[in-house]
Amino acid sequence: MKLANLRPHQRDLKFALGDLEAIVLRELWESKTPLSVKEFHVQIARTRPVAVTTVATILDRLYRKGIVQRKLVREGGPHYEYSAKFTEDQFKHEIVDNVMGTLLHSFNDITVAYLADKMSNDRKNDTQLSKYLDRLRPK
Amino acid sequence: MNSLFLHSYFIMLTWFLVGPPRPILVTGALLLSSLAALLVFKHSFRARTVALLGIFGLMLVESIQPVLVWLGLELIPVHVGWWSTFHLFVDANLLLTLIGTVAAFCAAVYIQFGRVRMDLATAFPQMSFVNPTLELSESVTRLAKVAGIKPPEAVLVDSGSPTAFTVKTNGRYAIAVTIGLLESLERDEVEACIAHEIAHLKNNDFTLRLTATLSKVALFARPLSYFIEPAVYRAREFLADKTAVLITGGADALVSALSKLQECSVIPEVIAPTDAICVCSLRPSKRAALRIFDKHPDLEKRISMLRRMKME
Repeated sequence: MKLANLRPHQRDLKFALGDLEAIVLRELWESKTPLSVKEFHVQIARTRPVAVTTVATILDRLYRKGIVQRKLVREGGPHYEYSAKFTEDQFKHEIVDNVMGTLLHSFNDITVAYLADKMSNDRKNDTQLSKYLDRLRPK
Repeated sequence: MNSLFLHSYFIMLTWFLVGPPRPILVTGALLLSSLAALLVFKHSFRARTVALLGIFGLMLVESIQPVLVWLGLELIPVHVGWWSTFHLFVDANLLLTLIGTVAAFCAAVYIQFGRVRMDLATAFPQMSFVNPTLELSESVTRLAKVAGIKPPEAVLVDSGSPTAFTVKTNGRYAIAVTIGLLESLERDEVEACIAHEIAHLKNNDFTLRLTATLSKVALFARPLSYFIEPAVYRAREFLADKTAVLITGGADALVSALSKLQECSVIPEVIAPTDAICVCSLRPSKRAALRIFDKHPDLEKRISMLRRMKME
């Protein structure tokens, strides 16, 4: 997965994705079956005015970044059917992995010291620590 | 302000626009004819192309005038001035044009032995192609027959960015349509995009664009050429739209296809190679003043021209 242009001042998915990309990805997680661009457009156009060409371009961009997967379907005119590659938790884990990896690479000792410090502080507060550990455990 | 200052300012301005100092007649003729090409030929894009390429021709002849005079052949019947007639090797303009001509020749040779002779997959390794649908090949063949040209190959590109473009490989033309275009436009809109590409082939735009670009390379030292080359490209786009309407027999589909492509509020990944002819610019300049260097006209202008055609 290629994550570029991280936006530290934005929250949640928008930290790693553009506004429209985040909306499209949410839509993808909500749907159970793979969706075509036209189906996506119908879904998204309910809440915000967006052109079908924009949806196609956004999905193509997410595919190039390795965030979604697609299958070429030839029946009924050639088109792609997009589906999610990661669950929401997996994706967020990837983002954290990406950011922490960069930090560990650039400021190794300081980052490790910071994390150790954070953990020992948190040990005083058991409930907080167990919450962190729960999240860190692989699912 | 004294007149000496004004005079030197005038010389600097003309230097910027048409190159080193030369007789006022030639300078004036160049500037006036380029303005005329853009203003007078507002609706006839063929005439505009001829005028713009004519200016290139005039600039070329005028640049190598000292050589011609030296050979006893004064094509432009004006006195060219001591700096170019007698000081052949000191005349920067002549020297730069000769360098540019060599560069243009090298570029032409490079292009002639490059992609043009490879097959599609070798020429564009970054693109992946899939088998075109029967429908796509049929509409390309049908529209080419209507236009009266040899049918080009139809190619489907495995990409989600909505665009269509024409490339020349292996000595023949191929019209490439992306899957992103097929899935986001309706059938008649896709056909209109194909018709636009066929129109480029019918109007010999590959040759004309190459002529304009090579002239620009040859005249690289003359700033005017950087305005004329994109102007030729834009005129050919308008003309291709007009021809496409004649081919498909209606402007509606092309108008709605172009407006859908214009509505795309994010910049698609550029997958078309730089020497291909695209249906619309993927990265138009944000500032209006810089659009004079764009090789595609504003989509708005193209749409309003098509709407005007519909009214007539």
